[in-house]
Amino acid sequence: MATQKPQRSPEEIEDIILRKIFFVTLTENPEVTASDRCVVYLEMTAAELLSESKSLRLSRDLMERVLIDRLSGDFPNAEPPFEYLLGCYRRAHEESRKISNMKDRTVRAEMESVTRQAKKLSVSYCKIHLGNPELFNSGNSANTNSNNASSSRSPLLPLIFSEVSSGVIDGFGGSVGGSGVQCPPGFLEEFFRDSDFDSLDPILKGLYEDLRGSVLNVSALGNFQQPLRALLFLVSFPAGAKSLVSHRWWIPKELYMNGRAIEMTSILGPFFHVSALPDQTTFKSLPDVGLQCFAEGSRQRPADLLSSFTTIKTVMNNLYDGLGKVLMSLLKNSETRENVLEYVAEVINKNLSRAHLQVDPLSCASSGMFINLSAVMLQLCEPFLDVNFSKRDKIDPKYVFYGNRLDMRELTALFATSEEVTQWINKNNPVKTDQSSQCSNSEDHLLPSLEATSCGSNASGLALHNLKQLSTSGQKTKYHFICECFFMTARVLNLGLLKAFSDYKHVVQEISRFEDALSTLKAMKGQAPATRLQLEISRLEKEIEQCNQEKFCYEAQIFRDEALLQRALSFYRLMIIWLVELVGGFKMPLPSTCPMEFACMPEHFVEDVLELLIYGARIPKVLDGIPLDDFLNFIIMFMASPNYIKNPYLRAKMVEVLNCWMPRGSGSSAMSTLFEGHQLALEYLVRNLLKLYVDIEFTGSHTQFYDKFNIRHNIAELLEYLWQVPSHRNAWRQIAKEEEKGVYLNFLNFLINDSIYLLDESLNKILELKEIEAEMSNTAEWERRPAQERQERTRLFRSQETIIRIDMKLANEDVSMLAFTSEQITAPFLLPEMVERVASMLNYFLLQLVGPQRKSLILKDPEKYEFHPKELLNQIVRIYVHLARGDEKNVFPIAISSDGRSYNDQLFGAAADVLRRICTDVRVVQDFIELGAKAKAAASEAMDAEAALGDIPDEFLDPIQYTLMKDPVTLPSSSITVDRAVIQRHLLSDNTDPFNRSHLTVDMLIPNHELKARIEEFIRSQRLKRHGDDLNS
Amino acid sequence: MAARRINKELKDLQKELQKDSSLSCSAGPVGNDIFHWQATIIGPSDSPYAGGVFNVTIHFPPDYPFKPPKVSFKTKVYHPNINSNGSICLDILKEQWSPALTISKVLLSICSLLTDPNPDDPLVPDIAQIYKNDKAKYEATARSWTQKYAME
Repeated sequence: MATQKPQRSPEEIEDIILRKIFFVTLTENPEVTASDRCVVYLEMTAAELLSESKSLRLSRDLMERVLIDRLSGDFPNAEPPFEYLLGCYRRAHEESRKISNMKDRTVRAEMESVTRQAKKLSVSYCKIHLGNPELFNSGNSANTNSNNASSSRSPLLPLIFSEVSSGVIDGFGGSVGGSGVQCPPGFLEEFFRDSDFDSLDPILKGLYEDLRGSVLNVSALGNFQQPLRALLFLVSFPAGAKSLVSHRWWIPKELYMNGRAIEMTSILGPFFHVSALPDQTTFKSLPDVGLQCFAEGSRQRPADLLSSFTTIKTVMNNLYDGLGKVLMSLLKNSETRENVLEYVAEVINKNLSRAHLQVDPLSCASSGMFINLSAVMLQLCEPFLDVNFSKRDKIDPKYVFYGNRLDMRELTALFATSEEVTQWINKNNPVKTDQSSQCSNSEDHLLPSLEATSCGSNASGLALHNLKQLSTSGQKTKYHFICECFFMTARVLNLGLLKAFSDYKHVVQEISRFEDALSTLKAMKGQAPATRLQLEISRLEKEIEQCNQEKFCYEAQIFRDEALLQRALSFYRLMIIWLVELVGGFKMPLPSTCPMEFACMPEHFVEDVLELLIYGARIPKVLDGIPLDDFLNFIIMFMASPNYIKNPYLRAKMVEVLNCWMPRGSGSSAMSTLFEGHQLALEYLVRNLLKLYVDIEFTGSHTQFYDKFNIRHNIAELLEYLWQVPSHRNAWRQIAKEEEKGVYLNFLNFLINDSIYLLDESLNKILELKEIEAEMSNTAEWERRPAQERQERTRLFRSQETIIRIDMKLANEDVSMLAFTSEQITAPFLLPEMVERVASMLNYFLLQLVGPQRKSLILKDPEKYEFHPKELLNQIVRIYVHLARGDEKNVFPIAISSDGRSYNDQLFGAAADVLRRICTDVRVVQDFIELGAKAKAAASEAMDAEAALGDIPDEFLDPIQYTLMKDPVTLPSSSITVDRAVIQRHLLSDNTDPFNRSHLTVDMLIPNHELKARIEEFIRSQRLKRHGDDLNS
Repeated sequence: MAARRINKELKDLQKELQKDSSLSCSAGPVGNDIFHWQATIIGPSDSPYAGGVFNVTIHFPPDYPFKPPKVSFKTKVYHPNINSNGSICLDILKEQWSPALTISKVLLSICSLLTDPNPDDPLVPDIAQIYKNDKAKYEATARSWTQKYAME
């Protein structure tokens, strides 16, 4: 077969192949150049070769020379350099494929080497060309034009896009990647794998700028995936990685750089900006996700909504994965690892004000960036989030205090004040101790004297000096990657995921505010000029629409992504286990003093855990499979430990979490096991809830008066549930016994305070409400009033309705707790400092419910206001009866009769009349009537005793109650003398001297024996006198 | 028990009034109910409320004097710490209450609140804002409200 064709020499073959590859000819052949206009006749080269007496045959030795001449020469209609070189490579590749069919081994090997060299040469000249675009472009006017048009983008970009899109099917791959360009196999590999970093670097840097530009202002629904894959492709080459982190836009360092500027200018920033979340208009991304997916808002069909949610979740997860892989690839490389950590740290440090309530969108990075960074950081944590967190010993608490990458020393700490934190950090600074050991003695003496003048300028200078030492010491200490990653993630989540929760809450509140306003406006139709009203209505409707879109965007990207939330939960489980280890592990009681390492930890570490748990509990499936035991134990350990976690609102949040988990009804056996199956819970849950109930009276905030009701509502619901659980109820009774005069008494005191306040408030409000109702029902007169006044009264009516509903609900809860606990625990109610106020409270409400004015509380629809008078009366009567049954010393009837306000002879009789109709328990009615009789007897006895006293000298009267003192005591700081029972009752709610607000506790009271003796003498003498009078008459 | 204390306060207040008839406030029970008072406050002369007579209701809760009395304006007032329901934002009526305080002292504090509003802890943020930024406007409005609602 071979003989049929004239045998070609290897040189001839080489010539043919090379001519095919390089599209050049050394012999003028009009036929060829005409048929294929790309083939260039290198006339000059040919002439030179002839003059050198060389044959006009292409060979590997001539390859480079020919290529240079082809590229530098001015040939009309010839392909521009990049396309030409790429073509050379492609043809070389094709030739090498053909060669593989050659039979002659030696020739084949030879030719393979030739094509290999041709490829290499094309790639390396491509590199030269891209690195110095002017070099081969002179005089080629036709091409400079076309080059200029696309000069902003590297011609490599389409090749990379086509490379990374091959085999990947997505909405963008085909259409954008191929503007027809197909990358010859292996070209990019060969291009970037080269070790010559210096020649590649400018090309790579340009590419990174192009990629950054291509995702600028692209939203979740835009094409970010291709650039992202291109990015990942490039960083997979060592040179690519190195070039990226050495780019001047890797971490832009200009002075004015704030969080937003980094997001917009750094190479990775615009990738992190890709999001479904709304952003400030200036930085708005397209396509508008809200508009595209949720334009119909709440009217959308559930199926459409669901598919939008799924789409967004999917694309965002593609982004997280891609960015995660990019960072991971850079982290694995020891040369670039530091740069990644520096970048993340810079993003965190420049966005500290994202923690503020109001975030300035012009100086802070977008929520989108921080959510994405949250997701990516959590991916990076994945390797150490195993079930047992076996690598948690790598997390060094010192990083928080001595690490120099993140500044966490300024953050509010769990217990220590900022001064304490600074002081403690300075004292334990390893470098400082090192240095002071080297210091001469004289300097050693200097230090304490300087510290003594703590307010002077010297001291602050010293502090500054110490801080500088700190940062240098931080550089010396290398922290494990796990440690760095852990704390960076904690910070990013705080500024990202957790911040987004509060943003979301804000949007939801905004919607309800707008909707309220809208319904008021709609109700006003016919009362105001129609056109203006209509305008205002449509404006509000638009606002609501916009907010609804935003709300859906948050839901789609965050709340529908169970995997993301679960990963965050897993991270925070590690957080609490690690925190608990700082105080010696999961065991109670806690050490008497809080270890400084724990005390100085940032407060938000704990707050974020709780916040996530609260949100997690509201979203179905998120808590599935997450072990909650550790969280529960953590909460039990710290919710009543103000010496560990100072902020009462933070501890209150713990109860909010427990409240979310509380088993409601049947079918939540997992949660029941959680609450009922743990030793720590059985021993400490009720105890600490009661303690928190007391602690929360004083939060130090100016809103403490109102805050406590909501917090106590959460506690009360839990307590009610726990009372139903026998083992918890036993623990409860035990605590009541142990703490009869301690926490338990305080708890009861506040429970009674609240019951009185809330019930009194809501009953009074009912009267006011009825007043307005009466005004409105008088239609003729109502219509005569000015429109503005009617509006105002209507608004007042609405707000009163809400207040009554809330207060009444809370009051019912409190009264019910008094009722069920008093059945088994009566002793503390009957203590001298307690019994009178319990009695007067019960009398007061009894009078309201059965007295002559009870008719004024009749409402058209009492259920609407949570007002259930019958039930309330039943509860109050039960409390009376429970206390009477436990009253061995017969103190209760006296207390009832001596209240001086609500009690009268008819009260119990009137109550009994009502009770017979509504109470089913005959024994209760009977006991109640009996108690009434006892109280009546006590009343007449007391009346006699008082009459016997006559006029009482002022000095014997208690200055607070104006009653005769029984046991006068003097207050140490104000020197005022009061009755012991009175001041003790005051001290139950407030540890201050009422006359000067200085601190005061029961043990500080000074008995006034002299006065007591004189009072007793007075009573005796008055009785004698009275007795004498009686005898005389 | 509270009845004695309230009666004592009432007596002291009446004594004070007899001594000094120029007092800026007066108070007493509504009908026979000594736990429910009505009071009047004369607008302080150095305030935009000058010349106004403001009605105030006082309700004594069952745990008075351990808990503060409930005091609210019946007359409309334009003030950063008094809202349209007549509720008053005053620390001694909430967490700063002390059993050693009396109605007479409370009324005095309300008078000084009229003269010196506390815009940093407002009940009506809008008015507080105006008070801070445009005092003349605040004074004009307060004066016109006083004329309209507190001078019959």
